Amino acid sequence: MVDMNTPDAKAVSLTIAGDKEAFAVIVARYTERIYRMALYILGNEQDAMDLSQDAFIRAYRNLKRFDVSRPFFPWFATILRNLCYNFLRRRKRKQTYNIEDFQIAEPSSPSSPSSPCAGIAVETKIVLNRALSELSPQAREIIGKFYFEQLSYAEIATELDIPIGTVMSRLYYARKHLKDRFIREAR
Amino acid sequence: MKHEHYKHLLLRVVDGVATAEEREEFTAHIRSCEECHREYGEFKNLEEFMSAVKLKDLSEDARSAYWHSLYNRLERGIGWIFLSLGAILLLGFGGFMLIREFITDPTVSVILKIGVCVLLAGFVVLLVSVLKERLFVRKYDKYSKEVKL
Repeated sequence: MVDMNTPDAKAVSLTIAGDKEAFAVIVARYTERIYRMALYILGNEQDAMDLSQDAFIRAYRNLKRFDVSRPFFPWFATILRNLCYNFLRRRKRKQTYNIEDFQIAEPSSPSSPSSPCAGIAVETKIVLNRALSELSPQAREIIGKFYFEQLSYAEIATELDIPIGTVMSRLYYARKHLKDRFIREAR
Repeated sequence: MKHEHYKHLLLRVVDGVATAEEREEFTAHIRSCEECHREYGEFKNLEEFMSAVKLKDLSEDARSAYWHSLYNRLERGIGWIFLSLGAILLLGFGGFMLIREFITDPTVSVILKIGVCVLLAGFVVLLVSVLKERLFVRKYDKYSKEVKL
Protein backbone atom coordinates (compact mmCIF):
# COMPACT_ATOMS: atom_id res chain seq x y z
CA MET A 1 0.00 0.00 0.00
CA VAL A 2 1.47 3.36 -0.99
CA ASP A 3 0.58 6.85 0.15
CA MET A 4 2.16 10.31 0.12
CA ASN A 5 4.44 9.31 3.01
CA THR A 6 5.99 6.44 1.08
CA PRO A 7 9.70 7.22 0.50
CA ASP A 8 10.82 7.83 -3.08
CA ALA A 9 13.01 4.73 -3.20
CA LYS A 10 10.11 2.48 -2.21
CA ALA A 11 7.69 4.19 -4.59
CA VAL A 12 10.21 3.76 -7.41
CA SER A 13 10.76 0.06 -6.60
CA LEU A 14 7.00 -0.53 -6.51
CA THR A 15 6.55 1.31 -9.82
CA ILE A 16 9.20 -0.88 -11.42
CA ALA A 17 7.28 -3.90 -10.09
CA GLY A 18 4.21 -2.63 -11.95
CA ASP A 19 2.34 -0.73 -9.24
CA LYS A 20 0.69 2.21 -11.02
CA GLU A 21 -0.48 3.69 -7.70
CA ALA A 22 3.15 4.08 -6.68
CA PHE A 23 3.87 6.06 -9.84
CA ALA A 24 0.81 8.21 -9.15
CA VAL A 25 2.37 9.05 -5.77
CA ILE A 26 5.61 10.11 -7.45
CA VAL A 27 3.67 12.27 -9.90
CA ALA A 28 1.57 13.87 -7.15
CA ARG A 29 4.69 14.58 -5.12
CA TYR A 30 6.68 16.26 -7.87
CA THR A 31 4.11 17.74 -10.29
CA GLU A 32 4.24 21.26 -8.90
CA ARG A 33 8.00 21.34 -8.49
CA ILE A 34 8.85 19.93 -11.89
CA TYR A 35 6.23 22.02 -13.68
CA ARG A 36 7.61 25.19 -12.12
CA MET A 37 11.14 24.24 -13.01
CA ALA A 38 10.10 23.82 -16.65
CA LEU A 39 8.24 27.11 -16.44
CA TYR A 40 11.33 29.01 -15.25
CA ILE A 41 13.41 27.62 -18.08
CA LEU A 42 10.84 27.83 -20.89
CA GLY A 43 8.75 30.80 -19.81
CA ASN A 44 5.58 29.42 -21.32
CA GLU A 45 2.87 27.53 -19.45
CA GLN A 46 1.84 25.17 -22.26
CA ASP A 47 5.43 24.18 -23.10
CA ALA A 48 6.14 23.71 -19.40
CA MET A 49 3.09 21.46 -19.08
CA ASP A 50 4.09 19.35 -22.10
CA LEU A 51 7.78 19.00 -21.29
CA SER A 52 7.25 18.28 -17.60
CA GLN A 53 4.91 15.47 -18.67
CA ASP A 54 7.54 14.26 -21.15
CA ALA A 55 10.00 14.15 -18.25
CA PHE A 56 7.63 11.98 -16.20
CA ILE A 57 7.12 9.65 -19.17
CA ARG A 58 10.85 9.38 -19.82
CA ALA A 59 11.57 8.78 -16.14
CA TYR A 60 8.84 6.11 -16.00
CA ARG A 61 10.30 4.26 -18.98
CA ASN A 62 13.82 4.41 -17.57
CA LEU A 63 13.18 3.77 -13.89
CA LYS A 64 14.97 0.43 -14.12
CA ARG A 65 18.17 2.33 -14.85
CA PHE A 66 17.78 4.55 -11.80
CA ASP A 67 19.94 3.70 -8.78
CA VAL A 68 17.41 3.61 -5.91
CA SER A 69 20.17 4.20 -3.34
CA ARG A 70 20.47 7.77 -4.70
CA PRO A 71 17.95 10.60 -4.30
CA PHE A 72 15.27 10.57 -6.97
CA PHE A 73 14.64 14.26 -7.61
CA PRO A 74 18.10 15.32 -8.89
CA TRP A 75 18.00 12.45 -11.42
CA PHE A 76 14.51 13.40 -12.48
CA ALA A 77 15.35 17.12 -12.63
CA THR A 78 18.29 16.36 -14.93
CA ILE A 79 15.94 14.60 -17.35
CA LEU A 80 13.65 17.62 -17.39
CA ARG A 81 16.48 20.13 -17.68
CA ASN A 82 17.89 18.37 -20.71
CA LEU A 83 14.52 18.02 -22.36
CA CYS A 84 14.04 21.75 -21.93
CA TYR A 85 17.49 22.72 -23.21
CA ASN A 86 17.14 20.42 -26.22
CA PHE A 87 13.72 21.88 -26.89
CA LEU A 88 15.05 25.44 -26.75
CA ARG A 89 17.97 24.60 -29.02
CA ARG A 90 15.70 22.94 -31.58
CA ARG A 91 13.23 25.80 -31.58
CA LYS A 92 14.36 28.09 -34.36
CA ARG A 93 12.54 31.24 -33.37
CA LYS A 94 13.14 32.73 -29.96
CA GLN A 95 9.93 32.75 -28.00
CA THR A 96 9.12 35.55 -25.62
CA TYR A 97 8.84 34.68 -21.99
CA ASN A 98 5.17 34.85 -21.16
CA ILE A 99 4.14 33.74 -17.70
CA GLU A 100 0.57 34.68 -16.86
CA ASP A 101 0.80 33.08 -13.43
CA PHE A 102 2.85 35.86 -11.85
CA GLN A 103 1.08 37.51 -8.96
CA ILE A 104 2.49 40.89 -8.05
CA ALA A 105 1.52 42.26 -4.66
CA GLU A 106 1.45 45.98 -3.94
CA PRO A 107 4.57 47.15 -2.06
CA SER A 108 4.10 47.65 1.67
CA SER A 109 5.89 51.00 1.63
CA PRO A 110 6.12 53.70 -1.02
CA SER A 111 9.28 53.62 -3.08
CA SER A 112 11.49 56.23 -4.61
CA PRO A 113 10.73 57.19 -8.22
CA SER A 114 13.79 55.31 -9.48
CA SER A 115 12.76 52.18 -7.63
CA PRO A 116 11.59 49.22 -9.71
CA CYS A 117 8.56 49.09 -7.39
CA ALA A 118 7.33 52.46 -8.55
CA GLY A 119 4.12 52.35 -10.55
CA ILE A 120 3.33 48.66 -10.20
CA ALA A 121 0.66 47.95 -12.78
CA VAL A 122 -0.38 45.35 -15.28
CA GLU A 123 2.58 46.44 -17.37
CA THR A 124 4.95 45.27 -14.64
CA LYS A 125 4.18 41.68 -15.52
CA ILE A 126 5.05 42.41 -19.13
CA VAL A 127 8.31 44.08 -18.12
CA LEU A 128 9.20 41.20 -15.82
CA ASN A 129 8.50 38.66 -18.58
CA ARG A 130 10.55 40.72 -21.00
CA ALA A 131 13.47 40.99 -18.58
CA LEU A 132 13.39 37.24 -17.93
CA SER A 133 13.26 36.52 -21.69
CA GLU A 134 16.61 38.21 -22.07
CA LEU A 135 18.33 35.91 -19.60
CA SER A 136 19.85 32.55 -20.51
CA PRO A 137 17.76 29.47 -19.57
CA GLN A 138 20.34 28.65 -16.88
CA ALA A 139 20.05 32.12 -15.38
CA ARG A 140 16.25 31.97 -15.49
CA GLU A 141 16.30 28.66 -13.67
CA ILE A 142 18.52 30.08 -10.93
CA ILE A 143 16.31 33.17 -10.62
CA GLY A 144 13.23 30.96 -10.33
CA LYS A 145 14.75 28.77 -7.67
CA PHE A 146 16.01 31.75 -5.72
CA TYR A 147 12.97 34.03 -5.82
CA PHE A 148 9.99 31.75 -6.32
CA GLU A 149 11.10 28.61 -4.49
CA GLN A 150 13.17 30.66 -2.06
CA LEU A 151 16.06 28.21 -2.01
CA SER A 152 19.35 29.20 -0.42
CA TYR A 153 22.62 29.46 -2.36
CA ALA A 154 23.67 26.08 -0.96
CA GLU A 155 20.39 24.41 -1.89
CA ILE A 156 20.59 25.75 -5.44
CA ALA A 157 24.21 24.58 -5.70
CA THR A 158 23.17 21.08 -4.59
CA GLU A 159 20.19 20.94 -6.96
CA LEU A 160 22.18 22.11 -9.96
CA ASP A 161 25.35 20.28 -8.95
CA ILE A 162 27.51 23.39 -9.36
CA PRO A 163 29.83 25.18 -6.89
CA ILE A 164 28.25 27.76 -4.59
CA GLY A 165 30.53 30.45 -6.07
CA THR A 166 29.05 29.75 -9.51
CA VAL A 167 25.55 30.09 -8.07
CA MET A 168 26.44 33.46 -6.56
CA SER A 169 28.10 34.65 -9.71
CA ARG A 170 25.17 33.62 -11.94
CA LEU A 171 22.73 35.12 -9.47
CA TYR A 172 24.65 38.36 -9.39
CA TYR A 173 24.63 38.82 -13.16
CA ALA A 174 21.01 37.68 -13.56
CA ARG A 175 19.80 40.03 -10.84
CA LYS A 176 21.94 42.84 -12.19
CA HIS A 177 20.31 42.36 -15.57
CA LEU A 178 16.84 42.45 -14.00
CA LYS A 179 17.52 45.60 -12.00
CA ASP A 180 19.09 47.39 -14.98
CA ARG A 181 16.11 46.44 -17.11
CA PHE A 182 13.67 47.74 -14.52
CA ILE A 183 15.58 50.98 -14.16
CA ARG A 184 15.58 51.46 -17.96
CA GLU A 185 11.83 50.75 -18.12
CA ALA A 186 11.13 53.16 -15.25
CA ARG A 187 12.78 56.05 -17.11
CA MET B 1 30.93 47.02 -10.34
CA LYS B 2 34.69 46.66 -10.63
CA HIS B 3 35.31 44.92 -7.35
CA GLU B 4 34.75 41.18 -7.73
CA HIS B 5 35.07 40.59 -4.00
CA TYR B 6 32.46 43.20 -3.11
CA LYS B 7 30.12 41.89 -5.78
CA HIS B 8 29.66 38.63 -3.81
CA LEU B 9 29.63 40.53 -0.55
CA LEU B 10 26.93 42.84 -1.87
CA LEU B 11 24.64 39.88 -2.57
CA ARG B 12 25.28 38.37 0.85
CA VAL B 13 24.44 41.69 2.50
CA VAL B 14 21.33 42.26 0.37
CA ASP B 15 20.15 38.69 1.05
CA GLY B 16 20.81 39.04 4.76
CA VAL B 17 23.22 36.12 4.98
CA ALA B 18 26.41 38.13 5.56
CA THR B 19 28.21 37.82 8.89
CA ALA B 20 28.63 40.87 11.14
CA GLU B 21 32.24 41.25 9.95
CA GLU B 22 31.23 41.04 6.30
CA ARG B 23 28.50 43.64 6.80
CA GLU B 24 30.98 45.90 8.52
CA GLU B 25 33.52 45.48 5.74
CA PHE B 26 30.90 46.20 3.09
CA THR B 27 29.52 49.23 4.92
CA ALA B 28 33.03 50.65 5.20
CA HIS B 29 33.60 50.03 1.50
CA ILE B 30 30.43 51.73 0.26
CA ARG B 31 31.26 54.82 2.31
CA SER B 32 34.18 55.42 -0.01
CA CYS B 33 32.85 53.80 -3.20
CA GLU B 34 30.01 55.61 -4.88
CA GLU B 35 29.52 52.94 -7.53
CA CYS B 36 29.02 50.16 -5.00
CA HIS B 37 26.82 52.38 -2.89
CA ARG B 38 24.52 53.08 -5.83
CA GLU B 39 24.51 49.44 -6.88
CA TYR B 40 23.63 48.39 -3.34
CA GLY B 41 20.60 50.72 -3.34
CA GLU B 42 19.45 49.40 -6.71
CA PHE B 43 19.76 45.79 -5.59
CA LYS B 44 17.78 46.57 -2.45
CA ASN B 45 15.01 48.01 -4.62
CA LEU B 46 15.04 44.94 -6.83
CA GLU B 47 14.72 42.71 -3.77
CA GLU B 48 11.77 44.74 -2.55
CA PHE B 49 10.07 44.28 -5.90
CA MET B 50 10.89 40.60 -6.37
CA SER B 51 9.72 39.74 -2.87
CA ALA B 52 6.26 40.93 -3.98
CA VAL B 53 6.24 38.61 -7.01
CA LYS B 54 4.80 35.16 -6.53
CA LEU B 55 3.81 32.33 -8.81
CA LYS B 56 0.28 31.00 -8.48
CA ASP B 57 0.04 27.41 -7.22
CA LEU B 58 -1.49 24.85 -9.54
CA SER B 59 -5.19 24.46 -8.74
CA GLU B 60 -6.67 21.08 -7.78
CA ASP B 61 -8.39 20.96 -11.17
CA ALA B 62 -5.13 21.66 -12.97
CA ARG B 63 -3.36 18.94 -10.97
CA SER B 64 -6.10 16.46 -11.73
CA ALA B 65 -6.08 17.35 -15.45
CA TYR B 66 -2.28 17.03 -15.42
CA TRP B 67 -2.38 13.49 -14.05
CA HIS B 68 -5.12 12.38 -16.47
CA SER B 69 -3.26 13.83 -19.42
CA LEU B 70 -0.01 12.18 -18.29
CA TYR B 71 -1.72 8.80 -17.76
CA ASN B 72 -3.32 8.96 -21.21
CA ARG B 73 0.00 9.84 -22.81
CA LEU B 74 1.66 6.87 -21.09
CA GLU B 75 -1.06 4.56 -22.40
CA ARG B 76 -0.87 6.05 -25.88
CA GLY B 77 2.90 5.55 -25.86
CA ILE B 78 2.45 1.75 -25.77
CA GLY B 79 -0.10 2.03 -28.60
CA TRP B 80 2.34 4.05 -30.69
CA ILE B 81 5.09 1.46 -30.23
CA PHE B 82 2.85 -1.36 -31.52
CA LEU B 83 1.51 0.81 -34.33
CA SER B 84 5.02 1.78 -35.43
CA LEU B 85 6.30 -1.80 -35.31
CA GLY B 86 3.33 -3.05 -37.32
CA ALA B 87 3.69 -0.25 -39.87
CA ILE B 88 7.44 -0.90 -40.28
CA LEU B 89 6.83 -4.62 -40.82
CA LEU B 90 4.00 -4.08 -43.31
CA LEU B 91 5.75 -1.30 -45.24
CA GLY B 92 9.02 -3.26 -45.31
CA PHE B 93 7.30 -6.39 -46.61
CA GLY B 94 5.16 -4.43 -49.10
CA GLY B 95 8.21 -2.53 -50.37
CA PHE B 96 10.22 -5.73 -50.77
CA MET B 97 7.39 -7.44 -52.72
CA LEU B 98 6.93 -4.41 -54.94
CA ILE B 99 10.61 -4.16 -55.81
CA ARG B 100 10.88 -7.89 -56.46
CA GLU B 101 7.86 -7.74 -58.74
CA PHE B 102 9.30 -4.74 -60.54
CA ILE B 103 12.80 -6.21 -61.02
CA THR B 104 11.50 -9.54 -62.30
CA ASP B 105 8.93 -7.97 -64.63
CA PRO B 106 10.20 -8.66 -68.24
CA THR B 107 8.02 -5.88 -69.68
CA VAL B 108 9.89 -3.15 -67.79
CA SER B 109 12.94 -1.77 -69.60
CA VAL B 110 16.41 -2.35 -68.14
CA ILE B 111 17.09 1.42 -68.05
CA LEU B 112 14.04 1.96 -65.88
CA LYS B 113 15.07 -0.88 -63.58
CA ILE B 114 18.58 0.58 -63.24
CA GLY B 115 17.10 4.03 -62.61
CA VAL B 116 14.84 2.78 -59.84
CA CYS B 117 17.67 0.75 -58.28
CA VAL B 118 19.99 3.80 -58.27
CA LEU B 119 17.19 5.91 -56.79
CA LEU B 120 16.66 3.34 -54.03
CA ALA B 121 20.41 3.09 -53.39
CA GLY B 122 20.56 6.89 -53.04
CA PHE B 123 17.66 6.80 -50.61
CA VAL B 124 19.34 4.11 -48.52
CA VAL B 125 22.66 6.05 -48.44
CA LEU B 126 20.84 9.21 -47.36
CA LEU B 127 18.92 7.31 -44.69
CA VAL B 128 22.11 5.76 -43.30
CA SER B 129 23.83 9.17 -43.39
CA VAL B 130 21.00 10.82 -41.46
CA LEU B 131 21.00 7.99 -38.93
CA LYS B 132 24.77 8.29 -38.52
CA GLU B 133 24.49 12.05 -38.03
CA ARG B 134 21.75 11.60 -35.46
CA LEU B 135 23.87 9.10 -33.54
CA PHE B 136 26.96 11.29 -33.85
CA VAL B 137 25.18 14.41 -32.64
CA ARG B 138 23.72 12.45 -29.76
CA LYS B 139 27.14 11.10 -28.82
CA TYR B 140 28.80 14.52 -28.80
CA ASP B 141 25.85 16.50 -27.59
CA LYS B 142 27.14 18.91 -24.94
CA TYR B 143 24.34 17.82 -22.64
CA SER B 144 24.83 14.11 -23.29
CA LYS B 145 26.76 13.68 -20.05
CA GLU B 146 23.72 14.89 -18.20
CA VAL B 147 21.16 12.95 -20.23
CA LYS B 148 22.00 9.37 -19.50
CA LEU B 149 18.80 7.97 -20.92
